[in-house]
Amino acid sequence: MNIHFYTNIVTIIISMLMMLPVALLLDGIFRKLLAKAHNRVGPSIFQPFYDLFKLFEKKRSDSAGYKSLFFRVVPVLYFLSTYSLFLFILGVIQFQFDFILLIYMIVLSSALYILLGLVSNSPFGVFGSMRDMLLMICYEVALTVCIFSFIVYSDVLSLSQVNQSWLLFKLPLVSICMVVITLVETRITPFDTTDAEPEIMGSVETEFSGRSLGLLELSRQLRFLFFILLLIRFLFNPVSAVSFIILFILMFFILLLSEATSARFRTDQTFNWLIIVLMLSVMGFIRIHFLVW
Amino acid sequence: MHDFSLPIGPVNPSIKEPACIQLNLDGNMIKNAKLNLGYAHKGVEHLLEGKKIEQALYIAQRICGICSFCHSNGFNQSIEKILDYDAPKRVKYIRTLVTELERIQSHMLWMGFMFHEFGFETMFQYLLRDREHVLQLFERVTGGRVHHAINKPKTVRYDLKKQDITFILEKMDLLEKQFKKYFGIIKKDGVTKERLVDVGLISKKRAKRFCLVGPTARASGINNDIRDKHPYDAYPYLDFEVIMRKKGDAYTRLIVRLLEVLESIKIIRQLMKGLPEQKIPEAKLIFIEKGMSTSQVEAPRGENFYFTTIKNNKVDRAKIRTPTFAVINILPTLLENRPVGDVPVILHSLDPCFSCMERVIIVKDKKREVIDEHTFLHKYCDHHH
Amino acid sequence: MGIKKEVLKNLLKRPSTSKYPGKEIDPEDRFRGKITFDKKECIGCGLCRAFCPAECITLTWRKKKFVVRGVEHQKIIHPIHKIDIGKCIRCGLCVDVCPVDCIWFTSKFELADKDKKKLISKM
Repeated sequence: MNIHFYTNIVTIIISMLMMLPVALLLDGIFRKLLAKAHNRVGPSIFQPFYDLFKLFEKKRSDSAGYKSLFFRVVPVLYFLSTYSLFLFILGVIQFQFDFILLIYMIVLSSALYILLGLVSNSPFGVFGSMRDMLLMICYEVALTVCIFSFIVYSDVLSLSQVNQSWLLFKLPLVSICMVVITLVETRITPFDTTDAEPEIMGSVETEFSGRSLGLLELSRQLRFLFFILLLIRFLFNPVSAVSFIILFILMFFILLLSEATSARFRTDQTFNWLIIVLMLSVMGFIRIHFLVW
Repeated sequence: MHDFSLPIGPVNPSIKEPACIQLNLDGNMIKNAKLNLGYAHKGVEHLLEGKKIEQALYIAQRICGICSFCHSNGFNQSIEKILDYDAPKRVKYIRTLVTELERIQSHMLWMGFMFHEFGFETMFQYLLRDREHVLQLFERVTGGRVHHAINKPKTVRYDLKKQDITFILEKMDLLEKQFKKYFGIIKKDGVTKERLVDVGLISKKRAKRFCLVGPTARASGINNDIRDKHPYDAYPYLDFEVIMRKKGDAYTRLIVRLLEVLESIKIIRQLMKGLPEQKIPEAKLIFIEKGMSTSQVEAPRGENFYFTTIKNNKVDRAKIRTPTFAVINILPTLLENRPVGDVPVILHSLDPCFSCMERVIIVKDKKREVIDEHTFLHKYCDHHH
Repeated sequence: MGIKKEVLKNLLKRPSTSKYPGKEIDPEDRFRGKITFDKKECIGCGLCRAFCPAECITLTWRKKKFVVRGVEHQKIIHPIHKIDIGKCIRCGLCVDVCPVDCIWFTSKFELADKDKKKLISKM
């Protein structure tokens, strides 16, 4: 093995490890700005770090779920599958694998989240999983169709080879659907029905505590960062670093504004909206052959 | 999907006090619901037995934290009815001022939590921020933010100064500006309408059968406002209207309570304008040998009913029927055939206050009688009118 | 559009909450805080103990000398000894009923403590 291979491995490891503090800091800034929108002081921006260390220090709880093997293993699997999504999106790593692998990893991560609720020993967890299963029929299929449209339009086989900028204007319908699906995946109102606290307590994460809950929180923050980067990569694909930073801040503010100014839909109402999103994305995909500009 | 049961149990983020609702589900829809109460029973009626009248007044105030003045006012009114005493006008005006301020504060807290139940955190924080103005007013006028120990038999403890009156009017202007803004936001927001319209429908016939009280009944078209039907305190001298609507769903109940806040602001302005220049009588100890009376007060949640018997200057029996007691029975019927996502919205739109509601009924020998007032007085009371 | 304008305006305003333990709070004049009493002024009538709804006032006994037409007599009075701040509901009946005004309200409201015995105040 030559020196190229070793430097490559070191770059991959360092850039992947850098994603963890960036995701935690981003979540801290989100919470602080949301508190400012509510006219209150809010937590410090390093609060997710303190929360993570506190959760990892706790002892194992007395939950009856610990009797089953899945209860102990599935949080770790969920974290690993979410973390490995970053291998596709970072520009420094020239990952030459197919985009079908990307779609598979996204769906695997969502499916493991549903499995978390089913293996926990509580009716609230089962309920939360049932809700997410119902919605997954729409939004995962729509996500697949959207990614298909981007890839087919760019005529490439892998995510790292997409080199057309400003696809937002060339594929408008599909871009809008991507934004809505990002709201669902990152659990931001108005589409965060799985996280409905007054209705079903903690939903999927009710029974977990200690290290498992720490891994779940970390995975949620990593998903937030991943989906913002995916949106920027597909819709804009900026070349220079300055435009990347400006677009990142713009996308961040759009998500923040959506969280601060809207209420939450009920499950059947979210389902109706997501059916419309699915139909729009299919229409956008078909339109690539006709009326393309 | 199979069927199982979900407890909206004693510990839950949506009900603020302990109560248990057992839901039997069929997939996402509720088949039927069962109400289990008794977690917050404090034994208040037993605590009041044997206490002197002034002591009982201050204990009755601490039955509830949100509607504390209406309990104090109800008890005080029944004492003054036994003594056959008509308080001076200024005392009545001060008591009405505190009643209306309490109504504003309770409705704001209710609205804030209503928005929290379907995820609108921003309006929740804004309403609680604006509620601070009313609590500051309470501290300035009565001395306490939550428990205002301002009522005394025959009089009030503190008088209003000129700076207090200007302070009150400033705060009322601020609140009215904010509320007109909130009214505009609620009318335009799409998600609020989707979550609240046609949810928890109560028709006028059903409301009459279940004997509902308060803004819940007024949103279905029944006028049972005590301030209108049996006026007390300063209400005969004031000019206000009773807010009523016909539809009876959760959205209408939100609109009714919001308009009631605006109406209370109007009433307070009238009170401050027409406050008579009198001196407040000094507080003295009273002595009652024997007496029995009833009194009704309009609490923020409905009609609050007090029945007190006094023997030898001590309270012999105090029966308190709070408005939540009348309203909570309709909950299992409202929850049938609704999805689970509607449970916090329906429960909260009835405005339950479990901590002042809990009472114990003792059934002796399984006897049951239906009697009218005349027979009741002759058979069970030794105090003949 | 109303709520979006509100949110954007509030992002630039100062927060309306304050960091409490760092910043001091000044209660109003009529605020009903902790109860204090003056032992020397107390004439030992016992009215405060009779009227307290929470039964938190304890009395003690003391011999008092007084002179009637040149002859010295002695009597026993019961002035206040201690008040249990944990039980007090701050209703103000003792303040109103006291004939010499030797009990009054202060503005102190940070009264929490880890030890129950420290809540019994003798002054």
